[in-house]
Amino acid sequence: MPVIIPLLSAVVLIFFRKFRIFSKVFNLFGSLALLTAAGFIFLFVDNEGIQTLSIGGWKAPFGIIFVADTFSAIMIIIAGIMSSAASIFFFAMVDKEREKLGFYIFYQTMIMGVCGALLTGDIFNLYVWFEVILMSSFILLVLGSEKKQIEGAVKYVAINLISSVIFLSAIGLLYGLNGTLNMADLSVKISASKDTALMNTVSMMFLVSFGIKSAIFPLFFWLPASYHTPPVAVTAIFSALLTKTGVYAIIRVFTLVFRQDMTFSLTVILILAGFTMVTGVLGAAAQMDFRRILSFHIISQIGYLLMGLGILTEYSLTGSVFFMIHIIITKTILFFVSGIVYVAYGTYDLTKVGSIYKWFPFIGLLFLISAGSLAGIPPFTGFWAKFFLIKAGFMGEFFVISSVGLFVSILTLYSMLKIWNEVFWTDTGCEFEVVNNNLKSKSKGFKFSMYFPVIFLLIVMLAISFYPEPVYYYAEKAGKELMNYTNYINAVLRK
Amino acid sequence: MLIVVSILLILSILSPLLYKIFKGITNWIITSVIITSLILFINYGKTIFSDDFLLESYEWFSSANINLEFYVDGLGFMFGIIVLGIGALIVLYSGYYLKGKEFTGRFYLYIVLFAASMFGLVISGNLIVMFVFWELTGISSFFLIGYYFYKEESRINAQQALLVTGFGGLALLAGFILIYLSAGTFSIKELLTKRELIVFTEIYPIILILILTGVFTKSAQVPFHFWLPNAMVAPAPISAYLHSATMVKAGIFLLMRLYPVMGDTNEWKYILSGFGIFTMLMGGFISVNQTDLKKILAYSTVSALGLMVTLMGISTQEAIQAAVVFLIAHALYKGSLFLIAGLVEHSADSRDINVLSGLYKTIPFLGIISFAAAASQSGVPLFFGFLGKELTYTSAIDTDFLKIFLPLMFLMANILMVCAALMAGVKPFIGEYEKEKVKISSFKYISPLILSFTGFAIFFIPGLLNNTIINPTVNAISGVETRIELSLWHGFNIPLLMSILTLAGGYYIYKYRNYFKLHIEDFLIFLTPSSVYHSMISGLKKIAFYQTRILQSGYLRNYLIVIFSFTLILMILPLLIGNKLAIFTGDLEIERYEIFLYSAIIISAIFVTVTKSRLSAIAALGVVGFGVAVIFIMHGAPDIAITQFAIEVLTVILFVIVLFKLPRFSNISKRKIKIRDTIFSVTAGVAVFFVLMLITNEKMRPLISDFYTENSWTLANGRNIVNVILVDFRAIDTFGEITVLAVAAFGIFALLKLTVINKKEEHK
Repeated sequence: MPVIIPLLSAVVLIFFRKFRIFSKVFNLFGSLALLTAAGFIFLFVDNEGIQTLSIGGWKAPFGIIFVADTFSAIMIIIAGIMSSAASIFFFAMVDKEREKLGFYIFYQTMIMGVCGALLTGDIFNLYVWFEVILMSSFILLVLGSEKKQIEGAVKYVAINLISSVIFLSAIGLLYGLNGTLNMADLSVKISASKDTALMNTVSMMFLVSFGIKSAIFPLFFWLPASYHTPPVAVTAIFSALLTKTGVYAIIRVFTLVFRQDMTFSLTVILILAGFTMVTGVLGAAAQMDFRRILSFHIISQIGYLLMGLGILTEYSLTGSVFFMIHIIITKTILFFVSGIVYVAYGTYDLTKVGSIYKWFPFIGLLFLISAGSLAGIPPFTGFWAKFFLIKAGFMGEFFVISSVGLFVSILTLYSMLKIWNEVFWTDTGCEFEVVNNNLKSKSKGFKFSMYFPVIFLLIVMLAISFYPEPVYYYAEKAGKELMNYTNYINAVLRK
Repeated sequence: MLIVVSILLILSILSPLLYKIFKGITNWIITSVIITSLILFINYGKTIFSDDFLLESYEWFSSANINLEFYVDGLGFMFGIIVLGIGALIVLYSGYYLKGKEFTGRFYLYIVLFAASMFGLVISGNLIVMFVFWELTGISSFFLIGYYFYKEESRINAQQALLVTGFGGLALLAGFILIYLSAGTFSIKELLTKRELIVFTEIYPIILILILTGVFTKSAQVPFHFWLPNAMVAPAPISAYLHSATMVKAGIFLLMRLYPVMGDTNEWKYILSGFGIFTMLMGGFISVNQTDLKKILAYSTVSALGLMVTLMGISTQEAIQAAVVFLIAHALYKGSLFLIAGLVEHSADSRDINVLSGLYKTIPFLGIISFAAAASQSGVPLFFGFLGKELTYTSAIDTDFLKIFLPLMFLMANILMVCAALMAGVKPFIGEYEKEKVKISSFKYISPLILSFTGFAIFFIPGLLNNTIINPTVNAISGVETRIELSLWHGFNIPLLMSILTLAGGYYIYKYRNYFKLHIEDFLIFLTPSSVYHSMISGLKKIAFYQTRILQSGYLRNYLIVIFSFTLILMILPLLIGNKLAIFTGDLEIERYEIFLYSAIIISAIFVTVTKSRLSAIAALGVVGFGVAVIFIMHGAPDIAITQFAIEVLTVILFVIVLFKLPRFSNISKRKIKIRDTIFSVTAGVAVFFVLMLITNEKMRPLISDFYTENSWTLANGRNIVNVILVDFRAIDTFGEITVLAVAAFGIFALLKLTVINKKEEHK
C-alpha cells in the first residue's frame, strides 16, 4: 500500500500539474493517505508480528516479497509524517515554476521509492527502489536550473551512480555465490557458508554503496555539495528521508544478511562511525551558512546511527532506532526554521542575518528547542537518543566510540551556539522594517503553511521528549527484532 | 515535591505574560509565588525530621529505569530553602534593578526557570532527573549571562560558560552511566546503600574523575574557573543568585550528595583537597589584585568554592559540618555583596574601587548593610561567617590528613578573603566624599538587608539552626547519626588565635595591597586557562577549516578517487585478513578464440583512454560493448546479448548526434595528474579482477533459477524464462524500473521546458 499510494498520487498529479492549487492539495492528500496506510501497517505489525506480502503470489525466495517488521513500520510511519508535514510546508515554499513543471510528481515518486526500499525483502528489489529514489531526487534537485543547483546535482548524481554500480556488482557477486536474492534466504545461505573472508568483501561493497547514499565518512562529498542548493523544503525532506533510507539499508543488511563472522565488519563500521561523527561536526564548525551547517550535521548524526549498529546489542540497536526517530524529526524542524528565517531575511548567510531574538522571539524559541535537541540537551529527544547510545557503548565496553560520541555532542553544541549567537543575538545591521515587512506581507495561508508543520513537529518532538516511554517501547521492540533475526527469516520463509 | 517544581515551571512560562499585564509590580507577584512554594516546601519538613527523608516517586520512563523521583533529606532540605529563599529576594530586587530596561519579561522567565531547575536539582532522587535539571541550570544561566546580548562580550562569555559547564555535564553523564552499570540503579535512595558496589570496583577512579570533572566545571575549580569571572557581564542579581549563592554550589551539592556513595577514599581526599587548596589560594590572590568590584567578588567566590571543596576532601564529620556552615554563610553574605555592588554601580556609575569612595556619606544605609556582609565574610565575631571560619580551622587542626600544611593553607586563603571583603564591602564607602547625593528607592534595600542581617541574626540562635538545618544536613551527608553542638564560643584556643591572625593579616594586606600587586601578577601569567580555552576554540576553528578544505575540495575527481580507493581497501582487507589471496589457484580454461576476443576488448578500452578524437573514442567504446555481447552469446544468453547489441548501437548513434553540440575536446589535465590517475585506475582494475577471480573460484550453490526453469511453464504459463521472470516472478522490479524511466522522461521534459522559459524571460 505505501508504495501504491504515492504512485497513484504521482499519476494523478501528472494529469493535473497545470492546476496548481489542486496539485498542492492532492499532494497533501496523497501524503496523508500514505500516513494512514502506514498507521495500519504499524498496527498490524504491533498486534500480529512481522507482516509479509508476496508480490504476484510467488512465495519467497522465488518471488519478491515485502516485509514489515517493527523497524520498517516505524520508518514508514515517520516517512508518512514527514512527507505530510513537508507537503504542508510546500504550500508556502514551492514556487510557481516548479509546480508547473510537476514538482509534486517527482516528490511522490521519491516517496514511493523510499517506502519501497523500507519494505522490500529482496536485495535486487532494494536496488530498484534506490534507483527510483535517485532519479526522482535528482530531478527535484535540478528543477529550477539555477547554476549552483546544476553543479551540486551533477556531483550528486555522479557519486550516487557509482554507488549504484557498486551496489549492482555486489548483488551480482552475492547472487553468484549464493544463488538467491531474497534477503532472508541469503541470510540462511550465508550463515551456512564457511567462507567469511569473501562474504566480508561483498558485505563491504554493500557498506560502501549504502554508505554513499547515507553520506558516511569518507563518502559524503555529494551531500554538502548539493544539499544547500535547492529550495529549503526540498532539502528538508531529503535530509529526513534520503540519507536515512541509506542507513536503514545498512542496518538491515548487516543485521539480517551478513551475520556470520562480524568482527571485521563491526570494527570497520565503528571506525567509520567515529570518523563520520567527527568530520561532520568539524565541517559544520567551518561553515558560515545556516543550511550548510545543518547539512554537515546530517553527516555527523549519521555517525551516531552507525555507532548503534557497530556495537550491535539489543540495547544499542534500540538506541539507533530511537536516534533515527529523533534525528529525522529534529533535523526537519531545523531546516524548516532556516526556511522561515530565509523568508524573512532573504539569505542563509550567518553574517547577514541578525537580531531575530530581539524582534521575533517566537522563531527564536522554535530554533532553540530543536537546536537544543540536536545538541543533546536534556530533556529533549536528542538527549535520550545519545544517552541510550552512550550507555550501550559503555555496557559493551566500547569506551573509545562512546567518548567520541560525547565529545562530538559538545562540538554540536558549539556550532548550534554559533548559529544562535550570529543569527539570533548579533545585530548585523538589518533593518527591522524591511524584515518585518517580509514576514507581514505574506498571506495568512502562507504563514499558516509555513508555521504549522514546524509547530506540529515540535509538539511531536516535545511529546517524545517528556514522555519517551511509548516510543522507547517500540524502539526496543525493533531493536530486539533486529538482534534476533531468525524471527524475520521464519516469517519470510514460513518455516 | 512535584507540585512545588510544577508551580515554579509554570510560573516561569507565564512570567513574560505576567510582565505584560503587571509591568512594574511583576516582581512582587513572582516573589510571592516563590515564597508560597517555599512555605509548601518547608511544610514537608515535618516528615523529613521524623523519617530522615522524604521520597516521592512517579512512573515516568520505567523501561529505562528512570522514574521521576524526588528524594529530600536534610541536605536537600537545606539547599531547597536556600534556593527558594534567596530566589524570592533576588526576583524582588531585580524588579527595581532592571527598571526601564528591555526584555524584562524574558528575564523573569529565565530566572524563574533557573530557580525551578536548581530546586529540582537539589531535590531529585534519580541521577538522570538530576542531570536534566543540572543541564537546565546551565541553559538558563546561558540566557541570563547573555542578557545584554547586543554586546559581543556578553555573547562570548555566555557561550564560554555554557561550553565549559556543558563539557563537565557530559563527563558527569558518563560518570552517572558508569555508576548505573556498577550499581544497577539511578535511584539515589538505593545508591546510598550500595557504596561497596562502586568504591571497590576497578572503574571507581574513572567514575570519580568523570564526576569530579562535572563538579569542578560547575563549581569553578581551577583549571575550569575562568568562566565564572567572565560570567560577571550578567546583571548584578544574576551574579548574586547564580554565580555566587546557588548554581556554582551545585557542584558542592553533588559532592555532598555522593559523599556516602563514593567519598572518603584516598583518591577522593587527595584529588579534592589538591584542587580545592589550589583554587582557594589562586582565587584569593587574583581577587585582591582586581579593581573591578564584581571581579573581586567573583574571584573571592572562586576562592570560597575551593575552600568548600577542600573541606569536603578532608572527609571528617567536623569538616562536613564546617562546609555546611560555611556554605550557608557564604550564600548569604556573597549574595548580599553582589546586590550591593549593583546598587553602588547604579548610584556611582562605576565599579572601579580606585574610583569609588566616600559613598557612606551619600548612601549611609547601604553602607551599613555592606559592612555587615563584609564582616561576615571576614569572620568577625557576632557574624555567621565567624562560625564558619572557626569550624574550618578546628576541622583542619583535628584531622591527621595533611597535618600543619592544611591549617596554614586555610589561614592564607582566609586572610585573602578578609582583604577581598575589605576591598569590595568597605572601601567604596569610606574615604573622601566625591559625588552628589543619589536617591535610591528604599525597596532596593530590602533584599541585601535581609541577606546581610540573616547572617547576623542566626548567629544568636545557633541552637535552632543547628537542630533544624545543620545537623540533619551533616547527618544526611555523612550517613552517620551524630550530633555536634554548634557553640559560639570555643574558648581561647588555636582556632581563635588563627581567627585573630586572619583579621589582622587581612587588614595588613588590604593596607599594603599595592606592594603585593606586581609579584603576583607576574606569577599569574602562566596560569590563565582562559587563554587555553580561547586557543582551543580558535584551534578548533582552524582544524575545522583545514579539514573541510581538504575533504570538501569541490573537485569531483578527487571525490571519486577517495571513494574508489576506500572501496578497494575495504574489499581487499578482509581477503588479506582471511589469507584468501594466498590460496588463489590460477586454474583457467581459456580457448584460443577467447583470447582474441578479450584482447580486442582490452585494446579498444585502452584506445578509448588515449585517443584525442571523440568520434574514435565512441567507436572504440562500441567495440568494447559488442565484445561483451559476444561473451554473453558464448555463455548461452543470446537474448541478453541481443539487448546488449541494441543498446550499444543506440548509444553510439546518440553519442554521435550529441557530439556536434558539444564544445571542442580539450585536454585540461596536467601530466602529473594524468600519471596519478593512470596508476590509480590500473590498480583498481587489477584489484577488482582478483576479487572476481576469487569469487568465481568458489563453488556455486544451488540457484533459485532452477525453480524458475522448472516452473515457468507449469505455473506461470510462459515459455521464455527471462520474460516470465521479468513480468511475473519479479514483476515489481520491472514495475520499479518503468517508474524510473517514466520519471526520467518527465524530468527531462520538465528541464527542457524550464530552459525554454528561462530563455523567453531573457528575451523579455
